[in-house]
Amino acid sequence: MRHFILFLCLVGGIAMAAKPTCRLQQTIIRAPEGEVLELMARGTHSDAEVSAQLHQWLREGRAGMLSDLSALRMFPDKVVAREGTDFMWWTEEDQVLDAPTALYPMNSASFFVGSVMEYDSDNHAWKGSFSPRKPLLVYWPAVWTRQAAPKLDSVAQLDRFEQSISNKVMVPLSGPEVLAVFRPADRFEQPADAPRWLDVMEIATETEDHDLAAAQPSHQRVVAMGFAVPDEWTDELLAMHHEGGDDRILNRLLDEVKAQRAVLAMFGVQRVQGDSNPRMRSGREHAFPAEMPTFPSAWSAILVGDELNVSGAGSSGLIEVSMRSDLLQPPNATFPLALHRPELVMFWPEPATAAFRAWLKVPDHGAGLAGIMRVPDYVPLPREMSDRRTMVFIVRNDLQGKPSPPPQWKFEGLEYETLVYEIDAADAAKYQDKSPFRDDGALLAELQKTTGEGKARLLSRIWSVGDVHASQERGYVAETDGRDEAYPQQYRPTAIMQVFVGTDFNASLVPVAEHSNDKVQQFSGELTLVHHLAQPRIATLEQQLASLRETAETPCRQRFHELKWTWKKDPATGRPAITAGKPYCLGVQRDTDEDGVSKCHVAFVWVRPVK
Amino acid sequence: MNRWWLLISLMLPAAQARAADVWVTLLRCPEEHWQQKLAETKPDAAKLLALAAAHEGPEVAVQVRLETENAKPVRWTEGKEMEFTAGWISDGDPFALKPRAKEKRWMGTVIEATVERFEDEEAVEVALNLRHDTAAPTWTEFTYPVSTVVDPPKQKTPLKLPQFRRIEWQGKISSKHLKPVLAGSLLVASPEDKADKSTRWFVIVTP
Repeated sequence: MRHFILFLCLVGGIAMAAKPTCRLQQTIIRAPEGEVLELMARGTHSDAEVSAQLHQWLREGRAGMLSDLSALRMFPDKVVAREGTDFMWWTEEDQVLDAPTALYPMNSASFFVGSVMEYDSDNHAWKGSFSPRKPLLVYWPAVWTRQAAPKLDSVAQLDRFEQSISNKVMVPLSGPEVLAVFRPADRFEQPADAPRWLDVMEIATETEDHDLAAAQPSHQRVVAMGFAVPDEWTDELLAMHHEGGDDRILNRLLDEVKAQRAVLAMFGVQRVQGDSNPRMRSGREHAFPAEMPTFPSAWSAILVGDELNVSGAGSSGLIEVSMRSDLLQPPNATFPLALHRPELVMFWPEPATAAFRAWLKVPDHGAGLAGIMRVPDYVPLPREMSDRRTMVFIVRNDLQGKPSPPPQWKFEGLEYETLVYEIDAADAAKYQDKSPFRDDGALLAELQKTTGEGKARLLSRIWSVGDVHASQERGYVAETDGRDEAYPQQYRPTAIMQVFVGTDFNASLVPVAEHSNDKVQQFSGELTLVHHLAQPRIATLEQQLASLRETAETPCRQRFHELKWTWKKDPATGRPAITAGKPYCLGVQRDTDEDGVSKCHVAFVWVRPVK
Repeated sequence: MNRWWLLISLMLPAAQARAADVWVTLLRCPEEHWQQKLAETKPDAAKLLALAAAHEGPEVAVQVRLETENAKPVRWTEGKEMEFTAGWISDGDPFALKPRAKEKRWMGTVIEATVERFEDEEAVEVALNLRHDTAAPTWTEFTYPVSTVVDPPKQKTPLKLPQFRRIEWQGKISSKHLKPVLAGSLLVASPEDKADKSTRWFVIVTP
């Protein structure tokens, strides 16, 4: 018993001893976009070199420090450092039952705007955020159309701006590191000709335990980018890719941005360490009426800005990147609500975005092309991108530290190419032939010849190593509260439906080795290709009122000029599956345009294993 | 805060009244001064306290001696409680809104700490939670109700909700050999408020 008590005292004494400490620091430095882009995407700069350069710019007054938080922490424990403002704002509104045309705020809650650094030793979670400006008060129109002479009022909502990162970081670090790089959350609030900036979130630690710091596992600095370039560059860039020249593509694009012939349309940087799966957001939380849009009873919000998620696999250069960016400040669609009263309207935000998701292997200090696609003509773009509608998605990888052994499994990445043609309706039958002997290669060769003769037209071309997307969200009235006999010239939409209009490709194929001949590789899985031919003509007020006269409560059916091809391996069809390196005809889709003219469209896809 | 207290706080290891007492000091320093005179050297708690005592840059915003028993939590506040309306109600007339929900908030400084002292190691561990309002509250003003009646019989009610500018630090630190410890620093800067001078704040714990 005496020995047991002695043991408890010893253990207790060890447990009670003061634990070692480590100082954590999180800094946000705002520097010119062009120079940070060069620093991150060209050359072989380590994080320490990037940090030294940023601090040099700070001393020269070319960069500014937006946030600097530090905290001493013990092993193990959690620290929080926060500076900023608690904003109270209303969260729930009420409607006066005796006067349903009145709303007022019933409850409110607090939200924080400012700089935050949080670190939790238990799961190595590092959370950092920063607000580059105060929330913006936005006024939305409010109209109650169930009365003789409605008056237009407005309801105020707050939009917040935030740049945030959630990551896993083993500390102490061996030197200063780049945790993330954001485009400013309020970039669309700046004048078009204002200087462009990037915000670098840098982290550093200080500890007396130098052995622990030196033992840090390596990590990757992953840069995800989207460049807007002229359409005619596509062939040249793809030729460079097929020659193994993704690094050359990136360097060329960086040169073209400098020369103002290309535009940096998407950008984000993440620190990836093993399975840290960092998540980054930067933008404006744009509130909009989610229910009863003419006289809002509930609100929701969209992020107008950038989202970047990255997963890695050790330091082997295998990276999964998922990125989405708004291309411009979302335009508001305006819905008129009353004939002869044009001022009575409701708004709906219609963001235009580009996105990609890629699973690719990128060499150290190298680049990997993730996709090339064209943003359709009807998707609104900022002025500087109006004649640069082709988006090039590319990923850069920089290993920080020593390489780790490659994974035991084999990387089986795939690259895809799709083509959509408008064809003569008389030719449609041959692309719909279900015969197993159909020669898709010959069909495509013939189609390309026909295209050269002006009898067919190439509408869309996509190259990617994963999913790609470029579209605008369009809203249309999907529900009303019915015809009002007393006020036949007015109506009240009660729900808006959102549909994307643009180009979307997603695929989840894997090679299968079911052929005895190993040289012929086939795939299983599913792929979908969607391409809209034009913006929909959203029903006019006159059309909506006419529909209500006829149906009492059903709004106009909205037509979308959507072409959609889906492919799923189905041995029952008798058609050969997609074979590596050979074009595969996805079939024919028809659409009738607004003038009643029927058109036929055919799509082809190639799938190839990444070299 | 006079400089004698600061000097006493520097000599605290020898002058502690109770086993678990610590001093918590919140310093503020104009960022311009910090960048020009101090940023190049490693931040050091004792030096910052000495500079504050000599009125050479940093100045004391808050300094308090927390008297507590070993491992027992203690809470210290300075300031006053503020009450504000956080929600409204209508008794039928939407143009006559009345306060429905009141909220209270402590304006000033709140420090919560738990101190553990290890006599044989000359070490302390301090779990600290500090919140300090760096400015008086400001208000977001707006009017209600939203109403689409044609001829409103009355004016709308002007409403306002507060904003609180603050810094916050939460964590656990240890001090060996009973030296003052710089628990954290926070740069308070706003790119919008160019007229405001940025300020750097320091949280220092002195065993």
